[in-house]
Amino acid sequence: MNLVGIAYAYARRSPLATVLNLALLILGVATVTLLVLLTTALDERLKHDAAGIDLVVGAKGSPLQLVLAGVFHVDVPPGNIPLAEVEALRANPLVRTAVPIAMGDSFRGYHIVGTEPELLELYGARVARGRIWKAPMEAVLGAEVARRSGLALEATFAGSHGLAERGSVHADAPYRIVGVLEPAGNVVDRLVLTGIDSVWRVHQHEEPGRASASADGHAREVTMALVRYATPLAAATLPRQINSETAMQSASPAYESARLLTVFGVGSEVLRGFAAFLMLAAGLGMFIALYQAMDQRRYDLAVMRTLGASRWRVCGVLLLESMLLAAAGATLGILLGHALLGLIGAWLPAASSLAFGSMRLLPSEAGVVALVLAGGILAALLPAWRAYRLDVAAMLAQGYP
Amino acid sequence: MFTLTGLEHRYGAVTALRVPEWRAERGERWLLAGASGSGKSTLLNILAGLLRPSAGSVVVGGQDLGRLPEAALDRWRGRNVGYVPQRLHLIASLDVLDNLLLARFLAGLSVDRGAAAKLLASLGVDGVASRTPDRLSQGQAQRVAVARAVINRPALLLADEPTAALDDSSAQTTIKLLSEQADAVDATLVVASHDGRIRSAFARRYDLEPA
Repeated sequence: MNLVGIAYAYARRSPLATVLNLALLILGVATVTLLVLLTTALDERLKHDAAGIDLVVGAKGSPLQLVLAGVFHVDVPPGNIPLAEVEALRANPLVRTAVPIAMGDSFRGYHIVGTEPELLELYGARVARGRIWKAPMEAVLGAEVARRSGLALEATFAGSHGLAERGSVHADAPYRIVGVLEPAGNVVDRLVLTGIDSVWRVHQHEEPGRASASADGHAREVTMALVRYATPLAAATLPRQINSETAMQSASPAYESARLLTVFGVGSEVLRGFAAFLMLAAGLGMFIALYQAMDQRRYDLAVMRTLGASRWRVCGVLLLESMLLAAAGATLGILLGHALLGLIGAWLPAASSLAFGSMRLLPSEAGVVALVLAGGILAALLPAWRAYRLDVAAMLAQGYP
Repeated sequence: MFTLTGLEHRYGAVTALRVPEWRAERGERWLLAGASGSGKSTLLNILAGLLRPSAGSVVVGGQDLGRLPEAALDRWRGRNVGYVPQRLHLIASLDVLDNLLLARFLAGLSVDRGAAAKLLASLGVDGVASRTPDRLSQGQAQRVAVARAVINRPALLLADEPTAALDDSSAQTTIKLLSEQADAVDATLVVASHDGRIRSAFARRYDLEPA
């Protein structure tokens, strides 16, 4: 027998109302939690994927497209640039590394990227099994590609033409898997890496100009180059230099992803508003439930006063009940939010990299809990005030209605 | 045990109650008589410290209730007054045993399940300890309400119209029950009633005149 026990007994007395209010609260909290987790994961993913890359250099077009294609691998690249230009970049003293990449094919939706082993350094990736590619048509799978495809070392596969999931298959030029990478927590997990000459070879017999080069070795082309500066000062001059002095354009992943987030931000603001609305509705529901409970319970509260409970104590019973409900709603809502993120990750392969955060708690979730508890107090204030003001003598003089 | 002097209570401009003087000693059994509207319930509420009178003094067990601040009065009431309301008002969300334990808890006394069960047994209702009040008969509910009123061994046991809804034999049983329980804890018993059937059961009577 204590105040928690009393509050629990009352909650159990009207299970339907309790469960409905709790459900409303849980939904609101879960939505907010899911949003917080998703935006955090998205933000981190953008940062991780772009971590080692200061600048993307490619054909003229949209800089956002350049970054989306070359860094995040979620778009098609704008066009090709001559390999010779990349070599020229490498000679630039402002450039520490410039890694060429050649794209054009995909395997089960994962981009096949022709590149040089330096790319692994750029992303901090390491080989888990096997080795890196040496000869043409040797491929190394990112951790997620290997896991999802189930392909092992020495297995062969054919790339599909284009970056969409259903391109025609290059059955005449299969790749052989020579290595699998350790999970790196960034975009490399979702790539198939190979030598640039493999990509050229696959496209040898096709129309010129499409992510390829003519077989004679002249005017070899790649899709773009990923650049890391030698000095921070390069940020001030190198992009302008490339944009004005060459036929190429440069794009900063940091800047473009920030731009992307502001666009995406509008959507998440709307969702956040919706979640706030849900929580407000839950708070209102709690208020109505408590207010009605207060009405039904005036006699009980009056009896508690005759048994020696002070005014503050009867307020406390109502406040505590509201707080318990809020705490339960917050806890279960956060659990549900995490579970939902896990489910989304399991159902949508594209979101699986966002879902790996479903097992950890973020500091901002403590803010959600605090907000819900504050709402619980707020919802109980008026009923508690009425309990405080209760005229016990008048109450006992009346019978039940 | 208690002394009321020059007591008056007004609701707005209307005087509802006037008690020039009333003294009672420890262990006495009093019938508080008077027609409906003569202020019996008001007087019980004043004796219980639930209502402060407009004028006059209330001294119970040597304690001048007018001098006690709000919170202290609540605490005093929990330990010194047992109150059986007319409609019993058992807490519907709690079972019978918990209704008793609530009285211990709210008075800040130790919560002893064994002692509460024993008290229920002495009143012959230990069989319903785990029932909720809505599954009790009228007689059982009344016994439980009396048990709740005496579990803290109060010095003053108050009952408001305890026989109003009862047949003749039940009315006599109820008064006997209240007397026995008051004796068991050596409490002064005050029963407010306008029920003529129970007059003979009380040696002492205070008649309230319509104010």
